[in-house]
Amino acid sequence: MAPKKEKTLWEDKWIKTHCGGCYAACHCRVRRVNGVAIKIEGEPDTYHGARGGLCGKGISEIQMLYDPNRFNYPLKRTNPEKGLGVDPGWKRISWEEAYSEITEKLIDVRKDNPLKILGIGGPGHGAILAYFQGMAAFINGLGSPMTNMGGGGLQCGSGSHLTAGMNHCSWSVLPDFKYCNYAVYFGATKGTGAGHSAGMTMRQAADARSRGMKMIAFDPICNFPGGKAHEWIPIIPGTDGIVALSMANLLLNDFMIYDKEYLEKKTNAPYLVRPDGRYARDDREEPLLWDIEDNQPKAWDDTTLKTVALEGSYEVNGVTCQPAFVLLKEHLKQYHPEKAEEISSVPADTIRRLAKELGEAACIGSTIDIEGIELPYRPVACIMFRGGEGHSNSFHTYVSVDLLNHILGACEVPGGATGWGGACHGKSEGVNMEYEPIAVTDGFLRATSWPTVMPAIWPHDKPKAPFRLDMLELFTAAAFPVSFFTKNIDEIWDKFPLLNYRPEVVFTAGTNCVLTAANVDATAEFLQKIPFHVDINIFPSETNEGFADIVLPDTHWLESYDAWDGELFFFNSPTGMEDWTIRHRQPVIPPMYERKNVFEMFEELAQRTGTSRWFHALLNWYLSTTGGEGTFKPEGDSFLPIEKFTDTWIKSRFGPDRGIDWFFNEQDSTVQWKKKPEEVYWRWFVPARSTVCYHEYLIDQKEETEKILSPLEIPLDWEQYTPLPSYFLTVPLKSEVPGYDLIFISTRDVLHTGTSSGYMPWVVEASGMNPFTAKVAMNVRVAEQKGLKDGDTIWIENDRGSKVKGLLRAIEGIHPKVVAITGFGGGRFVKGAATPGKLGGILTNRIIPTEWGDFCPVCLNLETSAKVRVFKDQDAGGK
Amino acid sequence: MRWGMIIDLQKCTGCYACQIACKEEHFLPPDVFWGRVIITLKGNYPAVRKYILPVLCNNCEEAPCVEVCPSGATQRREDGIVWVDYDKCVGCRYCVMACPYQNRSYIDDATSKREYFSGQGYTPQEELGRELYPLQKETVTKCDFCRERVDAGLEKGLNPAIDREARPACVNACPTHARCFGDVDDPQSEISQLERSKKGFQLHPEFGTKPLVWYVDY
Repeated sequence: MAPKKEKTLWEDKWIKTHCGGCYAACHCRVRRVNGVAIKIEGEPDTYHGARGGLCGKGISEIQMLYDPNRFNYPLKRTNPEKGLGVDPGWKRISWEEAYSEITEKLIDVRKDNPLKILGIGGPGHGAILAYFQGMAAFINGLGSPMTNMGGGGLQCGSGSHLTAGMNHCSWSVLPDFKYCNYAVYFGATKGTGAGHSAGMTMRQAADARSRGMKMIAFDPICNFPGGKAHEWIPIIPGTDGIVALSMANLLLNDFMIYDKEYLEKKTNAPYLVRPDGRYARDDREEPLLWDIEDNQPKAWDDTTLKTVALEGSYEVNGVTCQPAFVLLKEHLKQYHPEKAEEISSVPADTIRRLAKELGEAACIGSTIDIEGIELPYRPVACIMFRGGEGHSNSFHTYVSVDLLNHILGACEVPGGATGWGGACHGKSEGVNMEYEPIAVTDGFLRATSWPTVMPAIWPHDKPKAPFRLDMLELFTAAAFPVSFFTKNIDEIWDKFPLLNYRPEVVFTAGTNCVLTAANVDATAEFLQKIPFHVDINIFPSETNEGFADIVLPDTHWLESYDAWDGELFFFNSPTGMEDWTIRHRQPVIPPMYERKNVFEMFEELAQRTGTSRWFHALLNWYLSTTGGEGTFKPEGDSFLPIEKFTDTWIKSRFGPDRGIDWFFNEQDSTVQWKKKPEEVYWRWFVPARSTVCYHEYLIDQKEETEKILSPLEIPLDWEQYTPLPSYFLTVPLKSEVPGYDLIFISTRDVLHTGTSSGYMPWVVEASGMNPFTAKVAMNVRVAEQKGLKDGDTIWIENDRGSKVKGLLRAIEGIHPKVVAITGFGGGRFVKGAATPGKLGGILTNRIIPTEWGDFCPVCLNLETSAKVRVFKDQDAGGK
Repeated sequence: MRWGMIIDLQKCTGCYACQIACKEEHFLPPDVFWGRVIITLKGNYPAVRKYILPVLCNNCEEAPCVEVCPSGATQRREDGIVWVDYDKCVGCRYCVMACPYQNRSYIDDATSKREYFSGQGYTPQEELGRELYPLQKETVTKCDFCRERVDAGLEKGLNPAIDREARPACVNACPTHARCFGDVDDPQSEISQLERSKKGFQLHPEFGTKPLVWYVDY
């Protein structure tokens, strides 16, 4: 844009930073004219993002920055009543008043029992990781380990984080787009709006499609992944697992297509399993394999191990054992395509064809030269995220899909399924970022790239009776805890002698959890009972409006520094051979009004409560786990203001002489260095294996967990604690309440992230032009059968009596058994905000039940679908 | 030489970045769009396909809008760009009716004043925008391939086909790099090569307007 009135310009500058609109933290540039941010573009010179492009949400962030409804000052609730939609009667208070009142409460509660303090964080528009790990460090420093993260408690990727963590040392898995030729999406949106590396995956996936990569999408609705795929395959929600198992069965038992060398050397397929289900072990308790050449058992780490057996029976210490591979193959035979069709509705012939295509596309045996290194070339990937694993069978569904990658040897090799930054050797480049997967217990991978506070990291602890309200000591394979927002969670807590206390203080940050995490009414009930609630946010939300006692106004990312979100290598960094890049956030404009950065709040409160030594020690610990120096002096120093905090962080990564000035001025806000093939394609460079064929640890987990829960008569779906990848019907699919004939789901929209995107008028405007967004989609013929037509207002009622009302879109592109809302859903009602209600839509989570049992018993992922019926509005008496 | 654009529908994911970037670039008021994204489904279950079609002014060579404009406000330049001289536009809207692609917007008095946060005043971005990029009320507006960017870039010796500063905002914004801008008369330009190799097509060629926007699909 060429300014028309040049004489009015006294400033016209582009500032390099990175977006804070979602997890992806895409690099961007912001144009500031006369002190006003007027334009956001993607950064063309780095790979962290869309190389110049930026999604519509990111571009719109200027509207959020300047939203006149934002919080400007600390606020205090004057209305003692709390509840959904209750007017808080906000009163402006000073920072001193806010800090004093919070400090007093924290000190009192800490003295009594620090476990009564909870933290709930999501990715907001002020920060991403500060709301997660920063909050965790602060709350942990106070003496409570209980921080319910994962999108503010929605447990978004529990299935993925567990299995991708154990098998790929990554948060999630995506195709190595540059070389992949055949990608199968099971409820994943990588490249069509997924939050992880949103810009990068959109760019890489588009290039891959343009190059000829075939994309297959199993999805109940033909919208984002389904709409971009070469083949959209409608599927009943929660049945992806049986299709994947059926494909695995075909590959192993019918087509005999599998990567034998990979299975022998990189997985637990050859581990010998005894009749009691446990591995045969040596004197050191290490698992044994059968060496065919030496005709004897040897431990996985025996350096004399030559050729191992995948098939056969062997006697070890007088007991007949079989390689896990034999058990797997035999077990998979039950998942024949016809059975998979019966449950998933995907035609058996389609399953056969796709399995064959996938197997053939894997090019097993072939190699490729990457920068002078010869590597296996397996240009196929099967990926899954929330759509497939957001169910009560999450663990088994995810392992079943990932099993396909391992059968074909397509993991962390060119063209295969790869994670984010599993290995990084930054020290040779002068960056204190150094880690790689290592072999630990039983020879399996341990991710060293991600925060070690994650409980799911291998090896899992032995389950114990919980003293924490989130019960993570009991579910040690779970990445996120038992949802606080489970209906009647008190009744479960009451059964445990150690859980004889209740939360008294909760911090929420960057989350609107009452709408986005779990059942709306259960969440509201939980928050209503907590006597003191501090919310850190930039704008009014249903959560702070209904429940917060004090609101602390955070800075928007365009007003702030940050050094944490720009180095999330395990999470959102460029994948494939694209350069390592660190870019930190700097303010485009100074914070307006009395807004403060969230780190400044934590630092100040840690000092006032006398817990800063712990807060700083935990920050150092976080930094050191990935090779940083950890230069936050635990005592006697303050890291205020945010510039000092950022300076200290940057020095931890780059050395004592390289701080904030060096980074933003000398380095122009960016440090990039070339990746090595052994970092990206680390699989064959590290001496560890994946646990893909047989999950022996679940036998112990079951025994220990059952010992604790059964005497208390707490039910759990124990069947799922089984070592072989299996299919289990989801809770909604098992429901047999007469008349409830459809499955309700919500699906991701490229323009929406939780509820926050609904604050930006450009996004809301575009959503109104989208035929899917915030509408209730149903198959046109099913609608006809029910006497419904496009444009009708309908009720959707779940099998437990909760209902919501929405606008019907009767379309061809949706499975006949499914009702779907696109985007978070909408249905917002917060007052004092301009745009949320304009999106329309429904309050999705009102009909997602979230009772005890509505989760995966292994990884605790919440069930996100519901069994429902639909009917016209007038049938409900016009309510 | 003539400027043109080609949009790769295989790459486009329908994220609306182009539509929103255009609004941000030109400080367009609510409900005014120079670029849009049209989304629809075709076929019968289960053989359904989603169609995503980003549209903008086609800057047609045989532009009906130019022909019907009584004041000479809508003009076609030698480089193919069709633009509106707001000082000459009388707001008769013949062009809006003549455009078979419905890619023109009339800015009435109320629209020209509308705020994004209704009743709460202009944001600093809107306020400055009205100073930097004044839209005249009661005129017709449309996409002109970011004429001001192209011209300013050329003055600086930049190439609007390559240099971000000189090329249309929507081309820069696209996360999938689905848009290519360039000289359609140069057979060696990227746009010409794409048009040939991927069998580019124009929307509704039967209208006979000879659009300078092409699409490629699979």
